Amino acid sequence: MKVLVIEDEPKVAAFLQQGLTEEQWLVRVARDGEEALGILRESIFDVVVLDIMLPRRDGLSVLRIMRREENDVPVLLLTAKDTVPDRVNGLRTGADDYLIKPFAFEELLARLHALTRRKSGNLSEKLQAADLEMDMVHHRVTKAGQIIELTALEYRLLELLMRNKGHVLSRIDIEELAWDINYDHDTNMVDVYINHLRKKIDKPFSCSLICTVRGYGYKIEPENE
Amino acid sequence: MNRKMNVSVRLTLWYSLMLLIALSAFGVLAYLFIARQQFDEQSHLLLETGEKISEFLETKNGELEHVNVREINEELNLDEFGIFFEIFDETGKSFYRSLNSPQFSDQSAYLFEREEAYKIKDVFGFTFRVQSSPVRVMGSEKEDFTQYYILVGQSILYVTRILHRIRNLLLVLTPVLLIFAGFGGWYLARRALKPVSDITNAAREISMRHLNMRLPVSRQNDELGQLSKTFNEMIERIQTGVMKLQQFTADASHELRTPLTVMRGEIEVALRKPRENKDYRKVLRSSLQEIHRMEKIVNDLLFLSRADAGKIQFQNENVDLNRLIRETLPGIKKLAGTKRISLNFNTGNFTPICRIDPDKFRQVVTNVLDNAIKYTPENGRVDIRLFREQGSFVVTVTDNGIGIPEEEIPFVFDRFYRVDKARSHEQNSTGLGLSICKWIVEAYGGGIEIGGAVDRGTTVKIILPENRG
Repeated sequence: MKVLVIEDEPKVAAFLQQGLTEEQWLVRVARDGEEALGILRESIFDVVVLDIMLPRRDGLSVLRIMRREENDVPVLLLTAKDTVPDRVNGLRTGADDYLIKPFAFEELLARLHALTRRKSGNLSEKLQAADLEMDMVHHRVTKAGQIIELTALEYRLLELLMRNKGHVLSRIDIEELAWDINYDHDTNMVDVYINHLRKKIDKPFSCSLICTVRGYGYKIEPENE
Repeated sequence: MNRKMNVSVRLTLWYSLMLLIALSAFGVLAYLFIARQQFDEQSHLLLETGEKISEFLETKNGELEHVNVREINEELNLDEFGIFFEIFDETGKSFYRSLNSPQFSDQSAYLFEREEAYKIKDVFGFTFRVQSSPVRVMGSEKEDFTQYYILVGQSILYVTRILHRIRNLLLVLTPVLLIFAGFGGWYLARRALKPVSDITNAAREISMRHLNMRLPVSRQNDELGQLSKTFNEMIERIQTGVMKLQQFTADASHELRTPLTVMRGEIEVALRKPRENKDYRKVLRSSLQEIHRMEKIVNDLLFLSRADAGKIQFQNENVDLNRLIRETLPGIKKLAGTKRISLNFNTGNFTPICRIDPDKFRQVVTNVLDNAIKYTPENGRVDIRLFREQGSFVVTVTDNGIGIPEEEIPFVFDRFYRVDKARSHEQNSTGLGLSICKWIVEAYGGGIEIGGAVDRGTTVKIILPENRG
């Protein structure tokens, strides 16, 4: 899952990046409003964490422009402004949630999960495809009850495929949504990692879940056994 | 319960009391005047009647012969007015007595000329007034005449009846008038005081939370309108004060929230899984930094709240400003060195002795220099000058840094005001430094000014009066 953190206080941005990365999020940080708008125009995110008091362009203005440009990514306002008019104004401007600094990191995580869950139409914290199960709270993947150990990247890749169960994702989509922007991906890293995943998920078991759509991309199809 | 009788009732009562006194005085005086007049009129009537009666006397040889009673009664209609008469001769012997005369014990005592009528009682105790008119009946000789007296009288009731009627009228009219006037006065007082009760009701509604409300101002520009206006102006000032205070509190809590957010976030993330020692040390160091930041904010806030309460103590002594500035330089130089900023101090050939609190003034100089270094890019320069100007010592700090936009200059001394909201966090400033500087310098009767232009630099001018006791 990809999150854009728009925060000017470097220490806050740093611990958000560290904490979220450790929770298997793919984190990008923008330090001011203009930079944030630039990033939002070129990349897709699952959720955005937005501070209000930002240099160059304040958070509410960023939010307004995003919504005008029909970017419907869920936005969580993370700010020290705590009055009721501030909150109402934030939500009216187009935010999906509002969290006041200082906040509990656990709560931020829960809210981010809630926002993305609502966006993707999932009602629980678990993803499932046939006997493959993914617990997104504890980052645990099991197949037929057996725990499968995955690296962070493999986890992200599998999460992406499972969220879009039944739909084909192109290699470019996958790169965009599961890979860090700074990652050098001139070789076909997607194919390499899909292979890693297949080795762990499909090989030891009888049925195969990850299908290749020739010349286009990959999908998870639980019905093809 | 009735202790605080309202103003309109009190006004009405006072007004009614005054009216009662005035009406009573008027009634008594009018009564006395009318009584006097009535009695005068009665005297006059009796005197006139006497004279008229004398015309109906028939005389013979200088003696009274006959009284034409029938003609008198026809002409003068005496019975109708209850007037009686009796004619006496010189010796007091009764010559004629009208039929309606009451029985007096000794009427002859009244037989001489007088302006005023006598009040006498008859044998039954009724009161009458009598008037005697002397009549001379001339004889043949010039000196020959006989003196007679006609005593004319009338019951006092003819006068007192009228007086009683007037008295009764006054006794009835006075309270009626008083009641009407009282109600009228009460109504008027209430009407006049209505705006006051409106103001009271509105004022009761206005509390800390509803300071945007205003009192009704009557259309007339009278005393009450002025009162409302004055109150409204006062509420306006209070509202501004409260808003400033709320803004200040919000700013202060916001300022404290940032370090709290950092500490809480960093510690929570750190505790989510086991880490290496150096990671924990990093978090602890960062937390310590934030604690310093909060400490500085709290100290600055404390200073300002003490300053507002007038509780700042000054330990004044004779200070050489030149030396004081030099003492602050090493610390600043270290800061300037990291950005390769050149720091220059120029001072004239004089010894600027000032009676000030060295610690407080050092705080001012350090703060201003700190800002100069902060907002000057690498390889810039900061110049400090100390000189005399119009009986004051002046310290100017000029940098060639980023400068302040002209429209923001009036606000830079406001609490928590920041020219660039973005830079603040990195620069370890509380947003209170300049407010504190201004307060300290002004406490010594001096001033602090800021000038300059964007991208050209900033000049801060600290003015301190020379001859302070």
